[in-house]
Amino acid sequence: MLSRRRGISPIIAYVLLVSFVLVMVPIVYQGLKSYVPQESLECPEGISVFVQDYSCEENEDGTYNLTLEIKNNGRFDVGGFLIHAGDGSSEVASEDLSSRIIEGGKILGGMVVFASGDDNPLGPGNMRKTVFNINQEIAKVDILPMRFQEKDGKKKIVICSNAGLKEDVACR
Amino acid sequence: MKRKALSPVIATVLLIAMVIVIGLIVFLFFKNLAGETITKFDGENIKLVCDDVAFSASYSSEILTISNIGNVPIYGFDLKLYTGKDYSTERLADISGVVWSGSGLNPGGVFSGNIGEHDKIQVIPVLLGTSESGEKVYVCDDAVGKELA
Repeated sequence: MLSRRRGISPIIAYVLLVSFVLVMVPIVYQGLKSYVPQESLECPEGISVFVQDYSCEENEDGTYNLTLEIKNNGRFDVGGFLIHAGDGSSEVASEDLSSRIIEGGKILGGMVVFASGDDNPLGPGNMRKTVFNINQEIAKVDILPMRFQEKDGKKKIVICSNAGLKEDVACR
Repeated sequence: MKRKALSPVIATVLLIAMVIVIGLIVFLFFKNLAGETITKFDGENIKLVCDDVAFSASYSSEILTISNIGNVPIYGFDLKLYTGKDYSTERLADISGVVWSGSGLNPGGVFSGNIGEHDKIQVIPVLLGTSESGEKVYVCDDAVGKELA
């Protein structure tokens, strides 16, 4: 005996299913597109600098010249660094020394860069001597290397937070 | 027997229209449920940006020092100030005596200020993002914060 069960025509069913999918796709896309992680600005693994040597010399006016020999012992070029000094009372150094540089680099927005423009001139194995004129007691410096990297066709400053170092520097 | 019915074409159009309308209703419902999306840096969800925040902090003799060692500008900080097991949450910029820049702590920037004596504090970064209704502040998850004793 033939069954007389009612149902939607297959063509209409197909049309409905396809329409449902077409409607849901943009809805889901809009809701989830912001969760797609974008390529973040970060330094490559293998960036490393260290203080090869330092010296502290008193000037006639009572200030001191702190000389730091920054050597690149990593695998990538470095464009400059951030430097903060502290008197040892706090674990995190808070005094920005970049504005006190007198030799070996230039100031750029709170950091020391080794060259004008957006180059990374300190190559692996190279050393740069930088001199800062200070007028306060410092016991340590926090140094964070930085480099210029290209993103979306533009050169951007990237701080290498995974390559920071703390150096005990007794000056004054 | 002549039974009246809709033409298949009209039925199809009606069904498609119903699907679209129901889909829009469901979308708007879940959109309101999920809340407004806040983004930063060309449309990236601000929750993901919180994972890229990097800062170091220390607390000694009532002085809190924070250094932004990452590449994400930090708009502010929420502090959980503990006295024993109890704590209160305050925005760093609102603490009496603290001088906080309106633009926040840019990459490479350092903040140092007296926040008073506490048994323990937890420092949680706050970011500024963009939403459909304009700029909005977003407090990162506690897991991104740092505990200082």
